Amino acid sequence: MKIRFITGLTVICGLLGNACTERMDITSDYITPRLVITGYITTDTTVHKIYVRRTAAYFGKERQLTYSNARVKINGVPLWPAGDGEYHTDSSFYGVCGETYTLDVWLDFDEDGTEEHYTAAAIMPEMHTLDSVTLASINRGSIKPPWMLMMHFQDLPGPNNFGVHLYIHLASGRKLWYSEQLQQYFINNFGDYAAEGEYINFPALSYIITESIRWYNNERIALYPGDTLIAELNMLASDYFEFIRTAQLEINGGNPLFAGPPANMPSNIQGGALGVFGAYTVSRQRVIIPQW
Amino acid sequence: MLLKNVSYIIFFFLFLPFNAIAQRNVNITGTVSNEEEPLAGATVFVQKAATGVQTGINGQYKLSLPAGVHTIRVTYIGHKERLQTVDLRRDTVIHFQLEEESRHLDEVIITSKQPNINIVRPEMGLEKLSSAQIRQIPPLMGEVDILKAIQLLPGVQATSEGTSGFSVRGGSPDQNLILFEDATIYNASHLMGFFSVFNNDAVGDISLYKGDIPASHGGRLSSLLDVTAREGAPDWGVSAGIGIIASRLLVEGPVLSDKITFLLAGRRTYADLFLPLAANENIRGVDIHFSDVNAKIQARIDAANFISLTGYYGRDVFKNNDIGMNFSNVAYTLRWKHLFSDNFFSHVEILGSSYDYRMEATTSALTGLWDAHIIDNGLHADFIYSYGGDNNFRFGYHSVFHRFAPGDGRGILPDGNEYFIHIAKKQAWENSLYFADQRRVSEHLTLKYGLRVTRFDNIGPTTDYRINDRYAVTAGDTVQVAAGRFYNHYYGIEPRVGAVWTFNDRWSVKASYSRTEQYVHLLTMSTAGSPLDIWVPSNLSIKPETAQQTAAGVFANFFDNMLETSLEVYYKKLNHVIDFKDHPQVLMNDVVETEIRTGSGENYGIELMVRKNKGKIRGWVSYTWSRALRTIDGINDGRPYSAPYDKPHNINIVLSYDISKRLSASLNWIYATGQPVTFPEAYYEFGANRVPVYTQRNTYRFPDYHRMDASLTIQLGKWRPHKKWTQELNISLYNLYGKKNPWIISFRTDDTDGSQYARMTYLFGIVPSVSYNIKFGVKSEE
Repeated sequence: MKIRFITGLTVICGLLGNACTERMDITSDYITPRLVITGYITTDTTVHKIYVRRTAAYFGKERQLTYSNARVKINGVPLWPAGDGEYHTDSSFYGVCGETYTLDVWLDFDEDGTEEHYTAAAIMPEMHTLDSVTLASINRGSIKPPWMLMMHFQDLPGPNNFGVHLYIHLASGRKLWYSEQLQQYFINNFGDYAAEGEYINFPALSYIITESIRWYNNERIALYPGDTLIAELNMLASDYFEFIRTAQLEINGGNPLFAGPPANMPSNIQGGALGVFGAYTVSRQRVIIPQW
Repeated sequence: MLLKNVSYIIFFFLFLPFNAIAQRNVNITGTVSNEEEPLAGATVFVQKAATGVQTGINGQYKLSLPAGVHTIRVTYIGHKERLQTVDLRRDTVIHFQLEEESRHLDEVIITSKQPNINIVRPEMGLEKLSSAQIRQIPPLMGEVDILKAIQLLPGVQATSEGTSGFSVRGGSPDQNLILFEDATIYNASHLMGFFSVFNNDAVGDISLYKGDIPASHGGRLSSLLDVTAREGAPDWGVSAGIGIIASRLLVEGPVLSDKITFLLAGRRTYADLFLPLAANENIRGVDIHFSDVNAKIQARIDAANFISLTGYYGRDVFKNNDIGMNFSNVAYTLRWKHLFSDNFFSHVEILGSSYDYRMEATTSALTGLWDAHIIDNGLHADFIYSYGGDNNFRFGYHSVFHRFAPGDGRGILPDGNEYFIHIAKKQAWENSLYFADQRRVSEHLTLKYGLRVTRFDNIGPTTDYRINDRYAVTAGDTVQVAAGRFYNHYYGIEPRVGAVWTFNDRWSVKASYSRTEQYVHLLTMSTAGSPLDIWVPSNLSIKPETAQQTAAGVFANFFDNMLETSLEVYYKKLNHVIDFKDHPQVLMNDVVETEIRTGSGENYGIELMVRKNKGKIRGWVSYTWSRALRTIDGINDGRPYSAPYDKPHNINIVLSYDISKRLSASLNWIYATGQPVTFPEAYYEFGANRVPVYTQRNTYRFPDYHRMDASLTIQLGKWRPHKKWTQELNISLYNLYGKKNPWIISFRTDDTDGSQYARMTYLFGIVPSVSYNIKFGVKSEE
């Protein structure tokens, strides 16, 4: 809806004058680098990763420096350094619903010869099982695209910090993680729409499925009958949900019509580092694009 | 002092009406106008009786004279003096129409009551513009706009490129009380802010009080913009204008007799009519337009009683195939003016206004509707007693009942289930008593002082919240209030004091102090202007905002008042000012109080102005240096930061030149320091995303803003001083040299090398426009 509202404004500006967009030079002061620790665990059984890096200047080509000499543990179990600031769990690792996971990182970031200790905790939420995914045509009375991706699942008591990832498996064999960019990722706490414990049928509003959908770097992906859409329902830990919500506001400089003044995202890392340590559940279902 | 003032009030209430009855002079009443409009501040003087008055806002006057023959002299700057001898035997009505000395001269006369009014009046920071003056400013898209003209005054700045929102002395837009015939206008913009709701054809006087707000008004911290509706002329008249984006029509005239006159004016944009022809199919389905109607009817019941009814309705529509949004303003004022005597009269008004917006989406997968509004209804009773010269005493009572509906949503899910979102409605009652006295104490000193006392009540039914120290609501802090229950209140004591010391008729110094309180607050998420703003009242957790302004100035006129100059210095201290916490959720949030942070603020500055009122070249040059800082716990780590409208340097140059009687040119140039903004200084990666890292709020600025506009107005047809038909063509260029002033700055990643860069969106390059105006009016004779 926001995108369409902005489109409307652009139309107005186009009518009124000759609104235009162009690149401009901005010089900002570079702040003292800060340590950044990011990562999350899920209920999937797989290698889980923690990243230890430091900030880099926003404008220009500077890349983040990484730290491969940190000691990293989750619930006391060491992660092994995989290079480039990545620390991996064992491939048999998975998160258990209701469990509290504590991340500990030791690193001499300020180079004073003594390691500083950084820590964070995340509780794995209760699993919400996605029963099915359907496609509902936006046009009343039609079965043709554009469709919305409808999620059908039973709500459970407790916080409702939902997220929906979308994966696309084309019949050609190409596989896309469509919501890899945070701004594509659909999150909603459903607080206003469903009472506790109701059965929820709700569209993941970020995903309008048309014959040709726009993806990363404006690439158009053509969809055909027989292509597979995989929806992944997530229940996010509260801190992680807030991190994602604010990140969606801040990336690309915010939205001047709906966002407040820009501000740093919250961090649940104790010890002065930026970043987030999150946890979320995973439940997937698929739907095949029908003939239209 | 208090007892003395109370005794004044009792005196005027109890004795003035009887005093009026005791006088047995013959009354002479009427209006003074030129062929276009009533003249406020014209002098009606009777030499034999050595008495005189100045006309009111609508050109009306009243004199009490001994029966007999009198010669009445009527004068107004820029007009030929008129002498008329009358034999008064009973109460008489005489309307005077003055002839302009030069048709063009009138169009730049500021509605001053006397040539050096800027020297002698005790008010500070008061700016007045006439609609004729505003017509000379180059318009955007051919639409003359009051609020864009206001933005050219010292201490006033646009909130965003191209919009009619304005900031006065660093205050936020909601700190401006915008009145149309005393009814509050909550959103004074059309088309997302590009045009104001005021149709210049239908307005009379425009007065902007920058902080030194009269005691008769309150409820806002920064300014009072008082816009009056023009009264219909006693003779038939029609005017119309055709621009490239909108057209307008005005009709005025008598109803049955010249004691009752009306004015009806309307506007509509029509760009939407051409959208179906657009090449882009997304644009073809778009409907964007606004329309508004102004109406006023007034009746002169007798020599002492006047009644008028003014109405305004404006509506904006934006919709495409999937989503729609519309918003509207309504305002009405029913006014009864009563003259108890020559020098004691009253205004009693029943008035109200509403602003509402609605969004809707309709698809088979999701149907939704979102509706919000604010409604005011009120009563004003104002009494004015003039007791010689410019001395006058005013007192009155204002009562306004506010109803807020921050939002109601409903929709239908694909499975047919309905969902509802309801944000608790709120009600508040604002009652104020005031008095204001202005008196000339000595030859050199004039004082003004007054007091406004307000009680603001929150009334049920509603749900209110007590916010704890962590800005959260716990279960016990939710208050369910029954219907009609007064559950919370605030008192406001607002003294207003001012003085002017006139060295002579060309030099003066002034000083003023005012305290103001604000009980309704605008929660806007937009840095670019949005109609989806939410108004909320002070309540259990939102205290009234307060401001105390101290100001001083030097005023001097030169060359027989041809050149007016002024230097004003001000300092304003604010308390309980509102800002948002980081990443607030305002829309559809029923506990929006948790998103708000309050603190203190300081606004200060110097305003310089030189204005030329006569001659072929007229206009003004102004320079303002100002700062506006906020200190709020939880924002910027509690350290002071620039307010969103902190723009230290501002220069305005507004000029017009009469090339000939048929041809005039106007030009203005605006320069302002770029608006404060928060830019990222570092980043880190999270998955495939770059997350920005900031240091302090508003430490950076947009590039400095500057723009030049020019226009040429050509009187069509042969020029004659008083012909019935007049036609003119206005050709204007907005942003003459095509300065790309940023509206939005966002950030992108370069696909080729992965570097991060800034991208600006600007709204206007060079915008040419043409408008054609025609006016038909019959010159009336006595």
